Amino acid sequence: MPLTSASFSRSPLSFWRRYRSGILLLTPLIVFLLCFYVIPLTNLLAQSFSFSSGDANRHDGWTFYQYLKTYDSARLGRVLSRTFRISLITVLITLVVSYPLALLLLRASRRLKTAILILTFVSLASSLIVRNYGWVVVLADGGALNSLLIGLGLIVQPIRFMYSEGAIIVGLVHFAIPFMVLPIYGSLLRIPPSMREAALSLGASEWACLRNITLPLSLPGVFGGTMLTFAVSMSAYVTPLMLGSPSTAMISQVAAEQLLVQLNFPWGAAIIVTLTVLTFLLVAAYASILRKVFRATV
Amino acid sequence: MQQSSEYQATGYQTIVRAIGWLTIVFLFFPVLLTIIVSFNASFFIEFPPKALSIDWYGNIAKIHRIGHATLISALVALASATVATLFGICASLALVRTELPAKAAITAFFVSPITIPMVAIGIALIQFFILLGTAFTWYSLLIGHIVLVLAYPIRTLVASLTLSNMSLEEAARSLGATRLQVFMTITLPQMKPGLISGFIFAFLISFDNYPISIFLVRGGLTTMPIELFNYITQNLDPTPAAFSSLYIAIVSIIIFFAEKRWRIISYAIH
Amino acid sequence: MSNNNIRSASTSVSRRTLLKHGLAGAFVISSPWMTTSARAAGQLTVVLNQGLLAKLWIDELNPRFEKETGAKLNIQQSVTGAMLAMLKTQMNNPPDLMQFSEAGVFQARDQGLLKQYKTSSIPNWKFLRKEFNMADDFSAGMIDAMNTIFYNTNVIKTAPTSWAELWDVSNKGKIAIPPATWNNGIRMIVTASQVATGLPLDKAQYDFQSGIKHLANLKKNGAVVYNDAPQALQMMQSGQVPLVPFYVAFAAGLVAKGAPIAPAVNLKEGKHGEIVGLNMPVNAKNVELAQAYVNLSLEKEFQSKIDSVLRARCGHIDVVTSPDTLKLIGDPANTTYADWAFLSKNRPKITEMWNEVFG
Repeated sequence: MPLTSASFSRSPLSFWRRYRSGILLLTPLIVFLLCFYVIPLTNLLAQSFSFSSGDANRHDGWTFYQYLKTYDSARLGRVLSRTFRISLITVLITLVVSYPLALLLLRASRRLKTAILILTFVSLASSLIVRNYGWVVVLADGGALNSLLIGLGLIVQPIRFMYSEGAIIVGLVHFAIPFMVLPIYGSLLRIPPSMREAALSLGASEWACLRNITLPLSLPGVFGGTMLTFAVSMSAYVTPLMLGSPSTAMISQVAAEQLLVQLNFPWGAAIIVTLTVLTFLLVAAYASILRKVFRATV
Repeated sequence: MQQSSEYQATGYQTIVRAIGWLTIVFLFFPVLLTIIVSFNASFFIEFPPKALSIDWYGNIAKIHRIGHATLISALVALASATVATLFGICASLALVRTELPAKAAITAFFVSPITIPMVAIGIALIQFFILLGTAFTWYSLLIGHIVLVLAYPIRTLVASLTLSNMSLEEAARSLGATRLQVFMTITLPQMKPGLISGFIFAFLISFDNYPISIFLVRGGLTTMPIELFNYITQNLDPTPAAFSSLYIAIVSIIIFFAEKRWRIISYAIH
Repeated sequence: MSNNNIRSASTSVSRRTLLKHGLAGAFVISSPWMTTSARAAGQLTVVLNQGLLAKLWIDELNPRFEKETGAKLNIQQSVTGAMLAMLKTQMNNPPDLMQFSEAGVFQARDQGLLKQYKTSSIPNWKFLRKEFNMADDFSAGMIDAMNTIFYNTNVIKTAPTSWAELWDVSNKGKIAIPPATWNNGIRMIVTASQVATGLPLDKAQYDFQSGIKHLANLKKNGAVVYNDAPQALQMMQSGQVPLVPFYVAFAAGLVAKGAPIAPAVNLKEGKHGEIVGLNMPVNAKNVELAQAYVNLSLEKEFQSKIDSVLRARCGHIDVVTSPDTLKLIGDPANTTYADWAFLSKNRPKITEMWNEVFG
């Protein structure tokens, strides 16, 4: 049972002895992920550097053609900026509505807490298609929102809400709220209540408490939530498919169309690789800026 | 001075609380309306309903292959959640209880499937399976779902194990228990919250998945989200509302029961 | 205290193990449900199209077929584009029959993906109208799926008489057009070319560049693109978007229900005809059963239902188009058919150009 904690020798044998249990436990998982995760993704990456059968001037071997095509396409530029814009707006709106909900959860009684959390989990657990269909029902021309507005006398003709960027944003916010509330709530829980009590007893207002104590200390949760929401929005597929139109397509849809219908695998692969790399770079940049500005643990 | 800060306090607190409650209503609103529409006799989506009927619930069977698809979805979800949880047990034990180099990197690697667009995983897998010649089979669908849900049990189990008490295990070992006994009787029960919530998460995410399944299925193989989506994009009537209401009802009952029995949510909030 | 813990822990562990074993067993037993390998004799895999086009076969023909032949039917639904993809990726294990239109037939035949029918084995083949026999016995055409401008009768008082009216300034914001993934979306481009160049269809359809350029002007006129049939139907019947090019066969059900929508039956540039039929993949496993299915579909009684239910011209030579159907599809002489051999070959390029404008 040689799990020595102080094994400073660099020989492979002592490396093995030291990490043996860990490596053995992890081997099946690593093999699985290598076979069915790393290799397929690498294959996808490799495909993006080749020509497809319909391309002009095609030849065997490596090429940047698909990436140049992606860069040159005005439509893809539109789609990319649209995807980015929608994701940004979604993150902002989700943050603004989720933070108060997390605060509400914090101060709620045990019963109310459980009730709200059950509602959140049910929302998470309901199939995304079911949830988006719910928004089709609400936002349709004859749906609840239009009927409400007409009933209140605010409008005469129904407003076309569906199949637009606005509908997609509503759907994405609805989807992302649990992803934002839970991390924020988690970090709010970690703030010692004594801090707030001390501040209040020294004469600070509630607002000052929130601004100077709660908000800064809950930033790790905010950062985690916003990064997750952003990543999820950028790669959204089902929501824009159900709530949008071909004119509001997001990147995953465009890539999927190339792969499922046009059967242009290299270009579809290049598009999806572009999305993945872009999202990763944006999130990494965001994280490093935060780390520098706030010196927070992200 | 005191008075103005009190007024200020109620002012901002009211706004914050109002937004919080509005968000809760926002979360619940589409669910409520789906249920109402499912009882609407009208063929079109109309509000408010002029007549009520339960006919649409009878029409659920008309959704093409829905029974077959739901069964496949349930089995795949069960199997992938099980395999993912088993992998999760191994991974969390290795990461928390043993020594390993570069633990942060390994953990990030295991959790990375969440950050990759699902469409990318689906496309990569179907191309890979076509190369292998095993495309559009049930086990390729299962493998895709395992990759998808793997990260969730790993995360919850690592959290569970990290919070658990290692001294209990050490005490048991010093009293002569074998490693297996320690694992079965002490470690595993301590991991229970992580096990259950990881398993449930994995199940739900697999059951609900569309972007990966749509690339991996063909022919007789299909899943519930795919058939539901097909029906919605081909038919005008509110039968999907009936199906959705049923689905939400069943999910709510399961979660409510899980909370009552295993207090999974209370574990999450302690 | 610790005893209790150990006891409850071990029982909960064994319950969990039991559950896992049971689930694994159930999974293994039910795995034949999920196999997609080639069917044994006595089974037929048919991929039908969408909406009413498929529903008629599912409701009327399939029960009869299963009873008469004793074979089991495995039905799936898809669209032309996805079916072509299916043909290519499932070369070794394809379905036995696929229902798609001439938009895909020529391309599929030219790429060697379809099997020619042995018409001597199909007695009812002799009743097939000549123009419904597409690509020389490679496709059994059955439905003439006509596409024309649908209008909301509450909002638009007189039926449109020309496709060019869509570009009228008075119709700003009132139009929805099909996506390029739909076949009538490609026909829109061809029609736009007709309107722009003034040439008849057989010349204009080869100039899709002008078509796309002129179609882009519709975008300036506030036209939206619809996603799927329910969306188009919702827009039409609510009157929000009262002018929508759409297939008569998909809307026939709603028209019968009394919705305030009607097709324009006489258009100067011609309505769009599109023959939809049953096609056999080249490696289909159950050829005899497939041919029996085609034969049954070509029976006069079933074909007349295409007329009475789908409100479309059918392939059977002895079925006279009923007056009710003529009211919806207008004069068959006003219906034009495109050169899909050319259009489908250039479809990827056309779609890309369309995407650049509308995507």
